[in-house]
Amino acid sequence: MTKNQKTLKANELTKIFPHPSKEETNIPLFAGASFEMTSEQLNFIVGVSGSGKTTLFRIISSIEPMNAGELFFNDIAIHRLKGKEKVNYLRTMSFMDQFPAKYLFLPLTVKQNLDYTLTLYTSLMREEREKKILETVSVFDIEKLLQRKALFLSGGELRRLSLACNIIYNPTLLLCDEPTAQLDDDNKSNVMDSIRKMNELYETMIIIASHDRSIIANDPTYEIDDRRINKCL
Amino acid sequence: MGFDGRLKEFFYRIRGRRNFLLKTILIVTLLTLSSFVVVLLPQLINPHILSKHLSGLAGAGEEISTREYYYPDVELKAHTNNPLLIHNFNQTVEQVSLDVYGVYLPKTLALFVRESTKWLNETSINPAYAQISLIGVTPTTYNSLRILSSDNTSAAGAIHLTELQNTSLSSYSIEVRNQNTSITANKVVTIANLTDHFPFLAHNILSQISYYPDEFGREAHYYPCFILKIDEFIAQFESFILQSSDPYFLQGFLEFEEYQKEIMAWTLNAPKLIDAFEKELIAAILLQDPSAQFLFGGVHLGADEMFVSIAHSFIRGLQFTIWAFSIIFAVLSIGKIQNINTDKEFRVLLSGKKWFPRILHLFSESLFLVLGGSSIALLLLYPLLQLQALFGIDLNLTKTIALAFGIVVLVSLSVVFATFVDFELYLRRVLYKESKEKFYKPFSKVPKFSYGIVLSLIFLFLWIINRNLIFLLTFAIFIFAALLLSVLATLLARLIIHIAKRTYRNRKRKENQRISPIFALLKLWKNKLNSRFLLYSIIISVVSCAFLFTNFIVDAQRSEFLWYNGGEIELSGSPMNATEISQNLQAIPEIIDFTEVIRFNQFSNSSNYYAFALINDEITVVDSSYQGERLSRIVGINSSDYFDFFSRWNKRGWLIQGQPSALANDQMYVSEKFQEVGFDSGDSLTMLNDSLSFTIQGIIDDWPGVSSVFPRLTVIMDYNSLRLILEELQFDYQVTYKIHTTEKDIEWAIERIVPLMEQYGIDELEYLDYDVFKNIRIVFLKPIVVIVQMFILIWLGLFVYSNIDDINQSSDAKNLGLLAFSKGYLKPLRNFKIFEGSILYSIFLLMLLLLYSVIYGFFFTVGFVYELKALFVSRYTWFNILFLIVAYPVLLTIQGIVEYYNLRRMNLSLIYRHPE
Repeated sequence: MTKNQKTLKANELTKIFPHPSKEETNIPLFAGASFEMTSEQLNFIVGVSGSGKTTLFRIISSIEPMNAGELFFNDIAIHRLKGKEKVNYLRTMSFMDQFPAKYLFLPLTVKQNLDYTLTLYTSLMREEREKKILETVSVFDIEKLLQRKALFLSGGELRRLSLACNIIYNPTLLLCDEPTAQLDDDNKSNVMDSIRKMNELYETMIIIASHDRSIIANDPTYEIDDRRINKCL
Repeated sequence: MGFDGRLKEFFYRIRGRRNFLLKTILIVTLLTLSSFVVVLLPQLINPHILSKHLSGLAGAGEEISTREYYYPDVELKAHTNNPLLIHNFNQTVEQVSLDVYGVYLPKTLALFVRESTKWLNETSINPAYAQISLIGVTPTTYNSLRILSSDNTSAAGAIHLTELQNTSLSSYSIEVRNQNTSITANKVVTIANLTDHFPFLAHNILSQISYYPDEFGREAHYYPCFILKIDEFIAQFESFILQSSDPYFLQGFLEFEEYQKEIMAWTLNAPKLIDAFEKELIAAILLQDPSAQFLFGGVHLGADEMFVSIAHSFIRGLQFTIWAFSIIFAVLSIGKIQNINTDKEFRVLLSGKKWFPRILHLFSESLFLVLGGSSIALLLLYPLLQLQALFGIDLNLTKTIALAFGIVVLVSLSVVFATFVDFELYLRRVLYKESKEKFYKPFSKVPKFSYGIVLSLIFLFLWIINRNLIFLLTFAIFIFAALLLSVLATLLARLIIHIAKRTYRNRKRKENQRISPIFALLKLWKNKLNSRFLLYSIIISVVSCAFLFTNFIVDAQRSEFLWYNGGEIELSGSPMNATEISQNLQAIPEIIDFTEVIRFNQFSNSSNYYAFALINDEITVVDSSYQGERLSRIVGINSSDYFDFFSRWNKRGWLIQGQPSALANDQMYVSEKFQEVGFDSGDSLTMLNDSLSFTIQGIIDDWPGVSSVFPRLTVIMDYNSLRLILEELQFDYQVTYKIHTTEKDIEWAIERIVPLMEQYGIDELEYLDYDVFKNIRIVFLKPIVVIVQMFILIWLGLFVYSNIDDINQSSDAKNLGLLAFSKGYLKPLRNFKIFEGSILYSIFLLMLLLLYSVIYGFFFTVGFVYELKALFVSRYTWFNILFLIVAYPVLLTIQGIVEYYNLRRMNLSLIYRHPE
């Protein structure tokens, strides 16, 4: 499948947080960072806890306003988005939280969770939805779990279901926040395999924030260190 | 996406948010259940119950007397040209009664047209009688009288009503409106016979034909009277009456059955309804005869309007408090549950749902939740109502209640829907307007002043349906007290925990030891504890305030009686037997003390009556020919005994000028009216042609038993001085004995006094009716009993609520899990539950203590008109306090145990740990 390339481009991106003590000067974050990410490969953002990974995700999602610079996703100027435009942008993207249960419906089965996402985000008919679900579960290797309630899934299975729900309606951008947190090595590897497979099969641009460098292969990686964004790979 | 997709979406939404819906449905169940219960509460103060329990309330005194009264409930006097109004009257009054009260149950209806006529042949009856009465009555009344006569076979003809036993049937020549005619009696009924069989009818007919041979005589005599059926009356006398310019004189007396009387007397705003009844009745009669002129005698019913109002205020206060708290609790709880769903709802909203389908969805969800919750509440309500039989409480589901329930469901629907819409607005604020709100707080964008407006509107609404100042005040005080105490208790609990934590932590720090898990839990569960404290405090303060309010009302009523009567028992006797009565009273062990008082108003003999009046700045004796104002009362007090007797009362308000102290035999207190005519404290006032001179020691303001509400001439002087004056003037008077006894001994004291009544000519004895107070408590306690049961149900509901979520997902389990990493969690959990229960119980005890000491402390120190003994706490109140003290820890213990066992089930490996 030929991928329709997508780009996320930042110019002089700065976010300023007010200092808790009003007498001190404010805290600038990212210090005018400029970077460009493409959908060809997985993009990683790494950094220690509290470095600003989630803040960057929030800025990319347009939920958090930035104080200076520009940020473009394809031709969309994220830094200028307001009201309905912002919501329309948000609709085209997806966000996988580090706590998958926050977005999943635990009393529903795996199939029902996927079907519910499709009924919300697409206008596909039943047969089409069925087909789409089967396609997706095969990518994430959760075919056998279709009739199991999300409540009874293991941590790794829950992550994969969350990924499946986030990708099934073909969003243009997927932000994954700590997708492998709390998982053992086998599960980490399963989840990452699914993500890589997803990157190959879908046109969605995927950005992953993680503190765990072991999941990174030869992927473009940006490190947030000392309030700056540096490209390290 | 077709219909299938939309249906699926709806199904997934319902199924996927199962816990949210279960929790919300439970919240709605509790909201509607408490609303249903409070809607039923007014049944506990319906007119029949109030009448049953409070009919002896007026003055709270019980009289021992043999006199009987037959006052009509409705009395109508009219001058009319249409005597046939009588025919329609029953129908008219029925319609009006049904309109105003929804009921018409007449017991006796006496209606008649009366004509005063003269004898032409006076000697044939009795030369002393110069006039007779001709009365036309309804056929029903006629038939009632007919059966008393010797000839009761004929259904027509005049009945001769006479005092004389041996009156024979005859024809009499009479003069009706200056024209001569005759009347033939074919039946005779004696007045004695009529009085025996129809006392009410007799009283009202006889009051029209009675006269007194002398002005001051007590025994009434009666003019003879002929009673005819109204048709016969018209046939025989109409031509005479129509030729005259004066219309017919119509009179009506109506006595209702007890059931209707209770409704008329013990309904809220009874006087207004009686006014409405009067106006409608007159309007209805005027429709039949526009020229009729009326004198409406009013309705004579012996209810205590103020108390009806207080009882309704109490119920309204409870209703409003519980309903308001239920709604606030429901809104906050739904808001709290919504927070858990925020992320999911964002995602749903981002899928591009439009406003209208979204609102429709929210409405259908609200409807589903409210209908479900209300149905469960109704199911729970039924056994709750059945359970009331155990407490002697009768609550029924009626048609009116069904309507009120409908309103409750609508209000609940509005509350749930409004909360859902508010949450939707929050989501949109965050999405579209970059709102910085981190969590959803229900109605956080509603300006604070609008809460005041809503509260004022509710207040206004309640005032419109119950226009009474006392109601508003009681209501406001009640709500304020409940809120203040709840907040106070919560703050107190927080303070105790804060101090305990601090002290403990400092000690551990000094000893360089680890802080125990209990204190770690306390810190972690801080917010939870706060809301729990607040909830428990609200429940306790509502119940305790209701108890306090009950005691306050009872004590106020009791104090009012004591204020007017001075003692628990009051009796009056002849001064001839004063020494013997005093000796006998002293010998009764139940009597603590007593004082003798003379209250002289006037003396009458067979030819004249005498009283005192202020003429030319001197108190002089006047007789019945005097046209001016008389002294309303001269009171003689045995001052040293009197002030001993009232030693416990606050005497500050007794006098405007001067101090209440022992009176010398040439000193007196006078009422304010004396001041208006020029006398002042320190002036001298003479009596009986300057033979006696008194110095005015003070001006009376509000002296117990000597009301100065109306500007009257009143004097208080020394007992012996007054006695000597009255004996000198040879005026009869009565000595009143005000007696103190403990409340439990009243009955025993009465039993010992009653034999003295005959022996020493004591006419009347009045005593504090203990049953009245018991009944007041019953009236107020029944709603509290129902509410306590409802709270227990709510408590059970909340327990279910807290266990809907998987234990491993609960924050309690997470907190415990954290502790469990370093230590086994069961022991700290057990200890914590014991500690938490102990704190809650201590706060509860402290609150009870605080409530009672504040209120009673206020009475003891400020005291207004109370005496200390008036603050009697009955055994019922003790029982209720004991019940609270015992029941509360039982609930706490059960809750603690169940929570403990519930948390024991958690699986540590499933508990969330931070990913990084």
